[in-house]
Amino acid sequence: MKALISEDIHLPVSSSSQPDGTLWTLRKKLFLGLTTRQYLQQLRRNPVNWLLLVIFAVGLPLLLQRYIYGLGSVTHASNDYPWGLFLGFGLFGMVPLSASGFLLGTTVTLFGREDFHPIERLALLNGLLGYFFAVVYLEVDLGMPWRLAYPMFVSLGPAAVLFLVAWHVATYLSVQIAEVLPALFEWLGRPAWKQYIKRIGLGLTIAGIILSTLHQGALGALFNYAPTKLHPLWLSIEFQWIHFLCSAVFGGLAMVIVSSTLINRFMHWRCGKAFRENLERMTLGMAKGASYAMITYLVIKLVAVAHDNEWELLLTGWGFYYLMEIGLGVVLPMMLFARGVRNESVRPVRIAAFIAVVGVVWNRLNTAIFCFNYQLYQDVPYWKEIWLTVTLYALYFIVYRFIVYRLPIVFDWQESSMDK
Amino acid sequence: MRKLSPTAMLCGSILMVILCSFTGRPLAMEKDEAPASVTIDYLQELYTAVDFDHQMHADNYACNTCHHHTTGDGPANDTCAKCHGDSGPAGDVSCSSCHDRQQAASASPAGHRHSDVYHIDKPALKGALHLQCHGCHQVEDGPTGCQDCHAFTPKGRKIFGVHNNVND
Amino acid sequence: MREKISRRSILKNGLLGTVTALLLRPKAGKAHDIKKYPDSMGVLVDLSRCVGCRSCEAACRAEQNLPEPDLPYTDQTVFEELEHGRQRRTDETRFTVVNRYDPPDLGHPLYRKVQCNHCQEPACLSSCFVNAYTKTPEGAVVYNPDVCVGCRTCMIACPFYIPTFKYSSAFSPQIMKCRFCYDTRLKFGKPPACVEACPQEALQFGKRDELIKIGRRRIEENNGSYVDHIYGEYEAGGTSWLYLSKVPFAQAGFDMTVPHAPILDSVKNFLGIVPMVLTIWPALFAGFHLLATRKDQARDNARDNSQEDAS
Repeated sequence: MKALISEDIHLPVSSSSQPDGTLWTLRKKLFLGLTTRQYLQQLRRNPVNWLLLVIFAVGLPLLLQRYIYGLGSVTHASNDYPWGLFLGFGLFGMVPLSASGFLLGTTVTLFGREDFHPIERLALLNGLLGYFFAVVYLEVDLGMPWRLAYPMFVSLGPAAVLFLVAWHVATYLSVQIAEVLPALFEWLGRPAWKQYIKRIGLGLTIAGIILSTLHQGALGALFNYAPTKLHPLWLSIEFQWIHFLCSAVFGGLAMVIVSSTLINRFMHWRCGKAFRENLERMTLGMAKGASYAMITYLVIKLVAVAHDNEWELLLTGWGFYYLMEIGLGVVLPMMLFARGVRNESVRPVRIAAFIAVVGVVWNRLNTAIFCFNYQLYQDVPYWKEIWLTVTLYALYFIVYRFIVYRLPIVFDWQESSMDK
Repeated sequence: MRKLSPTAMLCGSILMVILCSFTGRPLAMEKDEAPASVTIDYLQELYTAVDFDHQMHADNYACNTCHHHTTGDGPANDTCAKCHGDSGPAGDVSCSSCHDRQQAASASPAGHRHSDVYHIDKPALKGALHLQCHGCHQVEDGPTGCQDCHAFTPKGRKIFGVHNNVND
Repeated sequence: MREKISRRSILKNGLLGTVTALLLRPKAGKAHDIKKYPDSMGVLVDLSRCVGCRSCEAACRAEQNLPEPDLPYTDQTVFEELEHGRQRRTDETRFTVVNRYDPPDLGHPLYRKVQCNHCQEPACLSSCFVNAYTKTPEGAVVYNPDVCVGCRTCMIACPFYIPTFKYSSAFSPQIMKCRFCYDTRLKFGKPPACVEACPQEALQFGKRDELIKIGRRRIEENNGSYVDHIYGEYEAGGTSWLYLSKVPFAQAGFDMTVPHAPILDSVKNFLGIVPMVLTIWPALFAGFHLLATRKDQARDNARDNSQEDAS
């Protein structure tokens, strides 16, 4: 891509009209202004695409197998571990990492911090895609995926925590679509449509906060249903929802840092001026926010251990594993964040963000799988289940990249290419 | 209350024991009145009837081991003895005369009569037979396998998924 | 860049938030008020009577039209079967299993039948977001496959590891569990097939309240040979199936960590915050917004005023 851009200064497409004043066609916009040959060429040149191909070559048949022969054909079909990786990673892992949308939305729209504006759309997109793919994972995991809408319209169980999750995730998904729509409208050359969304911007943001507070918390509270199954160190009846909400705050911020770092590095050609120039400052700002969330999280975790008087459990093997999760997944990145913020250097912050993302996912996997049934036996997911999880993540990656390539997420859309 | 001397108490006790033995014992059924063999065939659904060797059991065990107090022997169980210590032989000593064929869905006292209050946890016939036989067989090393006492009917074989081997 | 936010737009946005909140409010709802049906039936299981004949397993399979097992029910080697170090459990092919235990001080094996305990306040029911479960007045906890989505939260929530999933089916999977023979027997006042099949009367069918009385009495009348506890009287808020044992329940594989309160109680405090967040958050954050953007607003107002003065 880089090579092609250097050949033509009008690439990639970042405005409604071509240099000669005529409008770009949709087809041209989809191909980033490249010819079909050029487009395929850049696809071939990118080694990541070959890796994706390998993942899909195995993953897609597995997906087919799952829908023809049932969940039992691609998982351990465990009755002791009803939730595996699809939910453990796909739902419980993806959702906190997608808190970015409501966090940056709140920062910019609600608190008026316009200085984070250049990264707001990326955060919103990151949120939207994370939630969307959480639903995709759910669709693979549900026994009857064709009944996804049942809890909304057919048979309602309003006293269940999952009911809350379903409704809030569905509502929030619509909120996020609305929040990302302006980027699509610009790309489609219909800037006027944005006005409708803009008018309800604050309302959407506040709805986002409410819905996020509740469903991030609700995902944690789902485990309150298993007070005898989940290891007490990973389950605090009183604080579970706060733990999940609080870790989602730094998880979401860390995910935007990771995502923006990768985009800035591997899609530098796509990044606009405002994004490039402000990224380091915004990264440090988000790191600061994340480290505050982390120290809060650590305190509440400690309070939970004290509240349930579980100190002696810390001395067991499980306790060691717990301390390892906290130490490597939270304390280490928190210190790196703090160091980066103090020295104003983004490098430790970016490393920290990556670790924090892994840390949050690790916590969710521990809660959903590894420390679940701690009194029975530990289940290691079947390889097909792991591969399918990776396949869906690869799909997420492709969609993410596809959108960032095209829509004005990390750059500003110009009405005519002359504004460049 | 007038104080009894120890001697008086001892005499009284002896007298009571003697009286009891005179009122209770002679009324007890004689073992030779009992049938040599009993066919238990009231329920033949999954298993065939049982030919119970009553003679052998009567030769080796006291009547009240199985018949509680109904043969007039006086019950072996202390709890039963509180009422049935000297209640004499019953008109019908067969298990089915007391133990119903159907397990009672309700087991609360039906009224205030003693029989209602104290026999509310009485097993039905199938339970009574199995509890009595199997319980003793475990202790006395009798046969304890299901088909040691009664063979499968064709339906029983089907329900239990036994297909190939007759001796299963 | 900033769009000037008038007081009216704040109101409008705040209103939108509140409307959202109100729209979403009913579903946050209160916890199910599960009625304790006074005449609900139950089964009293006396572990000391069970001899491990597996007649109940055979009867259950026949009654529920479940697939025939590989080994006949007369085969005692199944008691040795271990999967992941655990004895047999219920699954999509069997709604009840009998397992053997060897308590150290007993001198003979002990058997325990496992099936759905039909809780008074079932965790499966309260965790189900499509209301697929019903606690019938007769005491059964029954499942409706027609609305089930297959999320398997009930399996997570059940403290007894009872609901199982028909993983083998892609097109009509469902939760498979003991249903107290509700459709075929319980509804008509008849005991479930397993109870009827039990030769030892280790299983006794009756009204739950009365079974508790019988259990108590059996404990009393047997001079301390029973453990002074009826498992299921309080566990998980009380279950329709109740157990008596002569050895400590833990030695027969019972989970003694199951709380006496219903499982629902542990999610109640989260459900309690929901209305609070829904009603307070919109006003709170709209307020934050006003505070955070106060300076900009003051500046804009000042500019407007000076413009008006100038004109």
